[in-house]
Amino acid sequence: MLAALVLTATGAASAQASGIAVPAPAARQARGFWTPARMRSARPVEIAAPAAPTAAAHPRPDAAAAPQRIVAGAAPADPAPGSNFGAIADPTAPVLRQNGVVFFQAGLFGLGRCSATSVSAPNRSVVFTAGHCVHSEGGRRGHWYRESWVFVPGYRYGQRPFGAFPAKWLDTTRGWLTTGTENEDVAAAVVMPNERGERLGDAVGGAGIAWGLQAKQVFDVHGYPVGPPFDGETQRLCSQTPFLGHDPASVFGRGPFNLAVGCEVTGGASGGGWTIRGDVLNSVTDYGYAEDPGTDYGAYFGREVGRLYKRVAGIQ
Amino acid sequence: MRRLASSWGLVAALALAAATPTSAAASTLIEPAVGGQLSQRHFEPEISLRRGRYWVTVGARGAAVALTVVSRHASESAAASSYVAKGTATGKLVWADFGRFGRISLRFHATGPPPKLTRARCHGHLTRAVRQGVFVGTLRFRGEDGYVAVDVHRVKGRISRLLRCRRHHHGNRRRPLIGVRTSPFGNAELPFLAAQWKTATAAKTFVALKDTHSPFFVAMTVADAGLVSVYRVALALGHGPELRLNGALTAGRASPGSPFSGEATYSAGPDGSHAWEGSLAVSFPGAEEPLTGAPLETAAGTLPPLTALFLLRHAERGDAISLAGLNRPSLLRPR
Repeated sequence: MLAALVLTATGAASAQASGIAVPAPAARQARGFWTPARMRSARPVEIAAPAAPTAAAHPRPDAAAAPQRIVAGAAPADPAPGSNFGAIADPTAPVLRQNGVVFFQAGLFGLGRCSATSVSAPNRSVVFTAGHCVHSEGGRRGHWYRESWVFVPGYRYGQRPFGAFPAKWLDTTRGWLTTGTENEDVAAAVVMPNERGERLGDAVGGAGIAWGLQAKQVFDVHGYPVGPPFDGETQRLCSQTPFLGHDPASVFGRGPFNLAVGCEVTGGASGGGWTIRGDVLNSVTDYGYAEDPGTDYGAYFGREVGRLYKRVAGIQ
Repeated sequence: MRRLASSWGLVAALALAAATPTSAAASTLIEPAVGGQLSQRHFEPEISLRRGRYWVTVGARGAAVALTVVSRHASESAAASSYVAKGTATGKLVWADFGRFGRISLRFHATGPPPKLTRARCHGHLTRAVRQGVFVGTLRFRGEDGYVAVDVHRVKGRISRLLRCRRHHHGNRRRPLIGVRTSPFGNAELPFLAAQWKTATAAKTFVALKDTHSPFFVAMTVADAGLVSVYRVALALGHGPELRLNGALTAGRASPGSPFSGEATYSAGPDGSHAWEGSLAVSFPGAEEPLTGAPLETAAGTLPPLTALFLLRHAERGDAISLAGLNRPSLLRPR
């Protein structure tokens, strides 16, 4: 199998039409926009699980009073206390500080947020996250979240210990951009320096990135989940989580099968990096099923992700 | 993280069924829209072979190719296993790698004239421009433990190009695998018993639905098998005694006929406790699955008639893939 392990960039590649530039003045203003209060009020951008058609279309007057007989996942269940998505004591520690939160204005949705990871590149300014954290959905109805999009590495309780890095370029896979396929729900951003003029890679470093590897890996899943029992205020980690298999449903989507790992994540963890071999990004959190909160699904990093990396790594 | 409830949109399917107009309307032909299961240029190969007690068919679904093995157990029951792999289906070829199950690499040679596309062909929300011909190449498949094997290099078939009618006036007319003698359901919600289980890469659902006239039983599974996703469905129609369910939905018994075997009993206590016990199992092509015992969770409740109709219509077509959207406990509303 073709395998590529990239720890440094492979050379400049011209940006193509799958990305969008953020005007420099707007990007600079984004740093000031995100006050601690605004960061704390941002909500995960996630598509709410559609209600069961039965319940929506035919409400029963006695439904609320009746005993709930479906025990397993009748409703989006909250992870039990003691979830395996454990809190990181110090998210500013080396390597861990590469993970952080992206904040952005999501139009009518309000203030949105996701998780993301700094990735090593020659421009020292690349962030990887989920496709739906930079572009709302595929096709004509989708739109870019380019307003006030910033990456805050090492975020903790409203603090930004390494500053905020506003996006100057947002990019995603062609599959996510055109069709919104879950199988290619991956995106990247090129960010401007922080308030102190430091480039992202100089401030926090960057994970390596690999694509084209075997799906069967052992992952460290990073993220900032917001949904209960989490609060999104500190980084969490599912450590050494093995590949469980593919999501069978992903056979129908364009692109490779999605990967499943056992990690009780909730909204806000989208885009959180899955690293292997210590510090090499190999997937990001994309979605889960309401009735199976213990499983996290992420996109397989294949050739399309490789092309995405080469595009953003070449942008200065 | 985004939370999904259904991969193929049971909601959308139900909405589509509900929105089907009954009056005749002028029709035009347009390409199917991007998204869902149809691409802009959607071609669907149709190959059908008989192998002993099984029918083996090949079709396409979105970016995937499905090889389906169907067994008919009696006049009112059937079971099907669909092996779905990433692949390509165009107007000229079908290709998919089914890993340890086999491979399809066929080139299509048309033998008939190209179809004429006219508005009169619109009898459903989709219509097909069908081209008859011969597929030449490799169609090799071997089911689990060799329960069915196919190895052919030339087979008759056809390729349909799906076109969406801008306006439509009748339902989908695909011929069912078995004929359902019951009339479409009325407006009343239908009581059901269900047992369900889901993991990261697999799911199993059993539903027993009590119609006014007769019960029907559906079992569905989906599982990841490496490069292949395997979807299975089984359906049996009853005559009445196969499903007993009290009015309070606190006690019931299901004993469907072939392809099911055994029986299961359900009981619920006032404290919300419940039990689902017995020997109930189902025989799919290539797999036997128990339908009782841990880790299956049980439920009793009522389904609206549209959901019941969706369940029945897809089950009778052996359409395990469309039914996979029902492998979601949240879609079965507890009482």
